[in-house]
Amino acid sequence: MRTRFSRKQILERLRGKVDKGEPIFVANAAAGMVARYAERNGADMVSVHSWARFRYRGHPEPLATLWWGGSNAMKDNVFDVHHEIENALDNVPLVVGLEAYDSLNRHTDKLLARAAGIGYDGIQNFPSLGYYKPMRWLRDGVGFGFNRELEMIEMASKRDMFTMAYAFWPEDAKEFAKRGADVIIAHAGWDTGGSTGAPAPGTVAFDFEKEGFRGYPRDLNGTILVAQEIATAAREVNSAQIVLVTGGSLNSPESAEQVMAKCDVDGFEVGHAIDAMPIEKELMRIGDEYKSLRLNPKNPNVKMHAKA
Amino acid sequence: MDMASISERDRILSQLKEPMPRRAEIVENWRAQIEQGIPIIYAGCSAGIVARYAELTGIDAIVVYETGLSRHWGMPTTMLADPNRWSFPMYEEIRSQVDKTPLIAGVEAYDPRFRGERGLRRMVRTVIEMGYDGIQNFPTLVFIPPTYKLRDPVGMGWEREVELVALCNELDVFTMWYACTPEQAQDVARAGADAIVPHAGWSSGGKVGAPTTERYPNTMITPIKDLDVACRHVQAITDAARAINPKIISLSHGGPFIDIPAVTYMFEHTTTDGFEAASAWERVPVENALTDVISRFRAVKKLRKKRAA
Repeated sequence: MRTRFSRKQILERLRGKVDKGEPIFVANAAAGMVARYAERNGADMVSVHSWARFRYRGHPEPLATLWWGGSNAMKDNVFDVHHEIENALDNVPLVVGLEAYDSLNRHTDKLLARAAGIGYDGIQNFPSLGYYKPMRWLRDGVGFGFNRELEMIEMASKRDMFTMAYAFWPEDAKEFAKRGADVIIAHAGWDTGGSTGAPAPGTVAFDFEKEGFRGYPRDLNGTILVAQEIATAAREVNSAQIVLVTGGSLNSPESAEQVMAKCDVDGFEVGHAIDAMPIEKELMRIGDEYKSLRLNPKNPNVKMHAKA
Repeated sequence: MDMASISERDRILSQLKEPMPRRAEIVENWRAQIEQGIPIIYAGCSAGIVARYAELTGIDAIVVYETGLSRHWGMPTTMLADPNRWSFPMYEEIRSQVDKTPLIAGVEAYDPRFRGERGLRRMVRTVIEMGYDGIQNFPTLVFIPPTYKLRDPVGMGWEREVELVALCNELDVFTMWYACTPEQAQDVARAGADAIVPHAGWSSGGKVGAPTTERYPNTMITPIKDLDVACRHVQAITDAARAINPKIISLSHGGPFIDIPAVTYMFEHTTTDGFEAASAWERVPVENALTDVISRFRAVKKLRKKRAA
């Protein structure tokens, strides 16, 4: 039986970490295998996103931008994969990313009830339109924009559901804090690293900030700056606000250590860095080793022996 | 709609067929590689992420079958019910990562939904139309003689798997076939298999591998514990197949052959031509990679400063 967690229990767990000065570690799990080894090796929480399945299919990170709606009902959506992830877990809170601006799910109360009913212990605003202001304005104009993410977090909070809100801009962090988000996650843009990571920070010549676009990947310093910016803003509203960071160049234990040491966040969420990157590294190594093996010279089919 | 526009559709569609390597091409390439002493390594891939790196490291073939899914669920390798319903739809995900590597379908030959001679042909048509480049017998009854002795009288046992090899041979579809005994290997060698896969039992090793125990009599599914015994087992199967067809390719798999040192030992002590890495590709390395990175993330211990909560 998997343990279910109330909002109060999750917050006690997280506050306990913060009180000890230890980072909160949220593992975004793309498959049961990832969830299982996340729990076994001490992750504090597991999160599930519709996008993560694309990562596990081997697709590159920037494809996340293809979504402008419908992810709650896509193939392998978070309700489809819930069973596989929960099946791999025993005693760790499991939270889910819900698309608040989904035109097929106008009634956010039903979406929340469905998530709680299926067995999720909390919610996130994922995917989020937060990073792209022009799209937010346009979609808010037709009632399916970023405001719905704010409303979803507020509604969940009022229903005593645990909430974690992604924030790309300081004013959004303040707004989420006002609406009662339990955790705010500063987003430093798409994950970098490995052959499926976003383009390396700074390699695409474009003024993203001027376009109102904050999904672009930050270097390590930029990741730290965003994390601090979001944390400072959120704590102007709620001085006890728990703030995590994700994305950008927080993509290894070493970079996580640096980010934790250089800004005032309470932990991190990682996905690409615990599946795509380590699996690539290990399989490339093992594949090469297999290719260097040689057959027995006594094999009757071997004519000449190539050097390893 | 006039006839001209119908044929126009056919003309365009005929140009959009997915390319497929010829059976002879796969076999000739592999034999040339074996002549140089380089083993054929093929990988079981049940998620795009592991197929991607099989293709990128130049693995010689990729096989798709249902038990692999259970590995990605974080579970021990387990047989799933109605396997073709699990495995056939995996094509799209795996193919999107695979261009140059032959992509082989693991097929349950004794699927009751494909009954009789007509059903067998429909089964081959289904996987070839989807875009697979060859066929393997998985799941298979080679492990469980008591079951197939009872199933053969109703036409849904080991003989069915041999019939599928013969049909593929007639159609020129590439085949590599599991065998747990010398007799099974000779059955499929006679039926025209391009390769046999001597199977040393359910793979042990890693965090959720099969228990290593002594074999029960007549049961081939329990992993062979001892490396030397496993080497003699795959050698006997290889020799039996070569007695029928000296050019048949032998690709050993399973049991204790789970990592590079064990496979190196196998090539030193047998004359098989290659190896199938399934748990050894998509389970144990992934378990190790996840365990390593997640425990190191967990070891990040300090925040910059304590805050009053």
